[in-house]
This record gives sequence, structure tokens and C-alpha cells, in this order.
Amino acid sequence: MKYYPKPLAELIGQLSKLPGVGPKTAQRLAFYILDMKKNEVNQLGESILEIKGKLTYCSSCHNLTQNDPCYICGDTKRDKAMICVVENVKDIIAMEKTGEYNGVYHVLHGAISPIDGLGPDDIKISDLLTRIEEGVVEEVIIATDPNVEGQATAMYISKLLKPLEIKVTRIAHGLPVGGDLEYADEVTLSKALEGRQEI
Amino acid sequence: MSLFTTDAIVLRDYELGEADKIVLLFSKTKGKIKVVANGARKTKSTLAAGMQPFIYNQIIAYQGKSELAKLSQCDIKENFRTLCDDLFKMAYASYIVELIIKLTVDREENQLVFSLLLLTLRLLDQFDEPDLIVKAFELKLLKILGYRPHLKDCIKCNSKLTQGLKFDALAGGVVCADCASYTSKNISLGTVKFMEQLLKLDYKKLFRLRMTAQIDQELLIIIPHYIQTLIDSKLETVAFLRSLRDLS
Repeated sequence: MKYYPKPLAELIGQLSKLPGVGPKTAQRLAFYILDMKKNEVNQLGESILEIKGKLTYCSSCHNLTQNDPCYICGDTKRDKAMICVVENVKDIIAMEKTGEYNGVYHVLHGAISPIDGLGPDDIKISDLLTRIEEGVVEEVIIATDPNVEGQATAMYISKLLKPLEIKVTRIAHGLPVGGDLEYADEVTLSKALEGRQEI
Repeated sequence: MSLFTTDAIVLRDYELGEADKIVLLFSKTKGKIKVVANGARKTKSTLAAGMQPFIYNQIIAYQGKSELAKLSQCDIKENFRTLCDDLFKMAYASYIVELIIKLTVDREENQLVFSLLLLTLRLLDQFDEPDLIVKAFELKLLKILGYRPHLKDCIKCNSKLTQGLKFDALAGGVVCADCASYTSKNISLGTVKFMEQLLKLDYKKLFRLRMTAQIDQELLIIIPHYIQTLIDSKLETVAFLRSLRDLS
């Protein structure tokens, strides 16, 4: 770092803190920023500052938003009787891309993982319960990841909601579109067989 | 630096980068090892399903100079489905795996531990008596690793076991009322006998044993306490297991 002028060394140091960015990439990015036009650099700086100051979490679904409630919770056309439970904010984006879902969401911000010491109190499950007790929810769709932690979270929620007599469903597990059946592993294939539908 | 094939059970996984995983395995021939599974978090990855906790695989991996081997192929041998579909069983399986992770040493072959782990996962998957299965596992694992609790007489003064018994985790066994310290936990004579039976018993006869509520309660405190004293750290899964018991 001693070979660089101080401001450049500082920028390289800050950039290399980002995930997947090593010293060499940080150096390349820093030199690129140096060559950028002044107004572009200002824009970049402003967007970085704004992300911290202006974003907050929706008080209802815990989605990342600029206004509280978020655009999904505030949309009157959305079906409030259906809640889709996801692990992360990024999962909402994936679900929204399908264009098939018209209900609202609930972000847990994690999953139950006994081995990491992450229990139900460490994620937003209690808020989901309050939301259900207050609202007019008819169905809860659990869309946590198809792994052990996601499955544990799904089972815990369904156990918790059983006394409330609400329909609790889990998204299907199965074969990815465009894949070859012969290369599918037995776990996925048996799940796909289990969730088969009449055509 | 070579390619190796072994049977292995997945203990746990850690996220690595955007789509990769580091997987901790207990293998038959190499003991507890870590492998990198590239792309295992992608939906279409052929390694994704096999690299889930509790799955028994045959793996082919490349061991270079680094401590981490690189996973090349995995073929699922047994997939314990109910362990992932039943919350209680999953919590117990996580506890078993945590004990293996914390009590065993890296890269030390131990076929007895491997067989015990595999058998316990099979039993948990097939039978609905997780408490009994897990208690047998705990004691048998402690025995294999050389931490068998002393149950014959008082570990400190060798007096005969009668009433007012305690379990002293630091001493590693049962103590009489006179030798007990303030950290010792209550244990009844019935529980001591039950532990002895479990240690001697063949797995085929396991389900003939009847565990009373008192024995269950005492062992639920004593064994995790003993193990936590041995490893000098907290067992993370214990709190979750207790919260599940409260929920049901």
C-alpha cells in the first residue's frame, strides 16, 4: 500500500472489504473510479450514502423499503389473506419475478438452525404470529429454502400455527425446468414424485 | 495429492462465496474431514442434494496441498427422509451431529464412531423413540472415545452406591452424598442402573428397555452437562431441544 498515494490506498482498502473483492480487483476498481467522470463518481458516492440513510425495514413484513409500509403491503390490490413466508429479502424478488403471486410476504431474516444456536426467537417468527392473530389471514405459504434449516423452519411454523386452524402450505420441491431426468438425484426425484399433479 | 473415494456422512455445511459450500463430513476411512463443494448451492447442481446434513454418501474428492479437499462426485447411499420431515427427529439428529463435531478430532479414522453414527441415524429415521436412541448414542459415543462415566461405585471414595447420589461431571462419574460438590447434579440409583444397562446393551434389545419420566429428566440434565464439561464449551442444540419439548 505504501506505493500508492494515500487517498488511493484508502479507497483500495475500503473496496477490498467487499465480498468477493480481493486486493487486485480492488486496485482495478479504484483505478477505474479514478478515470470516471466527476459527476459519475458523485452519483456513486451518493447512492452508497443513501442506501444506509434512506432504507428501512417494513414494520409489517420486514421487507427492505424506502417508505413504511413497503410497496407490497401498501398495495390495496394485493390479497392480504395470503402470506408467503420467505427467509430473505432476495427471496421476495425471486418470487415477484414469477408474476404468479398476488398475496403479501413475511421475511424471517434467517432460518432455524439448531447447530448454529439459531432458534425461533432469533428470527421474525413471533411477528408473523402477531400479524396472523390481528389480520384476516386464510393461508400461509412457506417458501423457505429446500434445505434442512429451511425445512426445520417450515415445520416449526406449521406446528405453531396448527391451533389457529389456518391453511399452511409449503412450496413444492422438484425437478428444475430444462434439466435431464436421468441426472436428477433420488432425493429431488422422490420429492417430485410425491408432489405430482394430475394433468 | 490424490483422488480418494470413501463413504461419508454429512455433518454440517457452511456457505462459501456466491454458490459454493464447505461441507464437514465424517468419513469411514479419513475421519472428520472438510471438503469444498463447488456450485452446491445452485438449483441444478448434482452435488446439492447429497451435501445436505445427515445424508450418507459415497464421495470422490481430490486432496491437494490444502487442508480442504475438493469434492468431485457424490452418490447418495442413504437419505434419511424422516429426519428432515419431522422437527423433533431433525433436532435430535442435529444434537448427535454436534456431539460428533465437538467430541472427535479432525482427520482421525474411527470406524466405530462412523458405524455408531450411521446406525443411530438409521434408528432415528425408522423408529419413534428418539429419546431412548439418543441416550444410547450419547453413552456409547462417550465409551468409544474413552470418556465412559464411572457408575460402579463412588468415583472418589469407592463406597457402595446407595441413596443421595450425585453425578460429578469434573470427576467423571457418580459420587456419594459425602463426596458431592456444589456443581454435582442429582442422580437416582435407578438412573445409574439404567445407564449401565444402556452401555452394555446390544442395539437389537434397545427397545425392550423402558425409560421412566424421572430417568429421562435426570439424563436430560446430566449427560449434556457432562459433555459440556468435557469439551469446555456450550452445546448449541440443547437449548433448541428444550424449547421444542416445551412447545409440545
